[in-house]
Amino acid sequence: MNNPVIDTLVDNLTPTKPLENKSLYSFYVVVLGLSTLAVLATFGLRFDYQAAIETGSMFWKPAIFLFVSLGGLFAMSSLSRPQGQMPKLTFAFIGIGLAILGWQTINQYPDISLSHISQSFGMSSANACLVVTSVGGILLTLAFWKFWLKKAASSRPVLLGAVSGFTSANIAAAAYALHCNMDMVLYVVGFYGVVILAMTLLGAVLGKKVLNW
Amino acid sequence: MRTYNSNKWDEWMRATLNGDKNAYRLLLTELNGWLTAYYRKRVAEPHIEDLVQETMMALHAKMQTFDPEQAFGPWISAIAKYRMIDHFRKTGRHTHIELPDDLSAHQTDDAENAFHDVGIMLDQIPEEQAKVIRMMKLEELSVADVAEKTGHSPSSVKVMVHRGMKKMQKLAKKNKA
Repeated sequence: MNNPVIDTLVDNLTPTKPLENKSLYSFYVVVLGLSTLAVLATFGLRFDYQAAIETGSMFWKPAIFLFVSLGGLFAMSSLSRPQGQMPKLTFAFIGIGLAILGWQTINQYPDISLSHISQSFGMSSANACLVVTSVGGILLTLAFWKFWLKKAASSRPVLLGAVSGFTSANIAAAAYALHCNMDMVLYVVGFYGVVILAMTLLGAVLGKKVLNW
Repeated sequence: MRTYNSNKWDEWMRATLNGDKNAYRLLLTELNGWLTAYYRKRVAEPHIEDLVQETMMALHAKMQTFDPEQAFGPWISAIAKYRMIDHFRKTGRHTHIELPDDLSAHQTDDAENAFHDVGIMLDQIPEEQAKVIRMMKLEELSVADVAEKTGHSPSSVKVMVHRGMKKMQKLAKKNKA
């Protein structure tokens, strides 16, 4: 017995290229590279980069966001499929990022003071940090949407949206951290953290709206 | 056939991605039975056909998310589950209730019974009050018309109706108790 739905679907079949994780990973490398170039071309390296290389600040801050964004990337690739789950690699990479943050917290413990972060409010560099990571995060989320997310079929669209916002904000933060010379842990957690949290929430809201299928 | 046929389905799905229409037809035909059985265990009968069709259309629209190196089963099961949850989300606030075909007959019976009960109570209240209540509530005449027919003033008609209705309410409560 003929089934009209099956007949229609079969008639409309065309060869389909499956989503490949390596395409997403390549795209990640490209957008990370372009974001870094954009930050360096617009703002340049932090003015105290020589001292920062010696103290390690040049590396640990971008590294936190880099590792965390890698965790987000693996989550995005897995959650984009109907049967996708949060992969262990995600927790591993986010764990590495948090471990670096913890290590810096211990290092800076004698000097940690809330006055440092309160003094940062209103500083042009702090405002630039908020604006660049926010705008960069939004642009990167749109780029991921165009390249990958619109083809996805996640059973957890809200989570996938949140993860894409989270990953994008972390890529933007990793790039901007090359210019940013504010190395206090409280500053990093406060200023970058607020943007990452906001982008995650924005991604979750967008995910609910646009990633349902 | 309603059993999950792993190797064949994996193979057909891979061929489908390459544009093989025969493999696609075989896959959808077998899935039709499998999905019907899947949903029969989980949703009410009237929704099954819609869900089976929606799932097959979702498979068609999102086939790029199938990884040829992975098994087909968990993928199609996840799609079927997602479609079902989405279906519940959309229809969850609206409960489908089958109305009896002879609903109007029941309503007529109820109306007749109520009319009969009111008549009994009207016989137990003062005649003038019962008369104006009959005119206003059962014959649906206006206060002015009732006043004209009975010779009472309009305000007096309203008072009589009010008092009569209160007495009938008391009678109804007494009968219920």
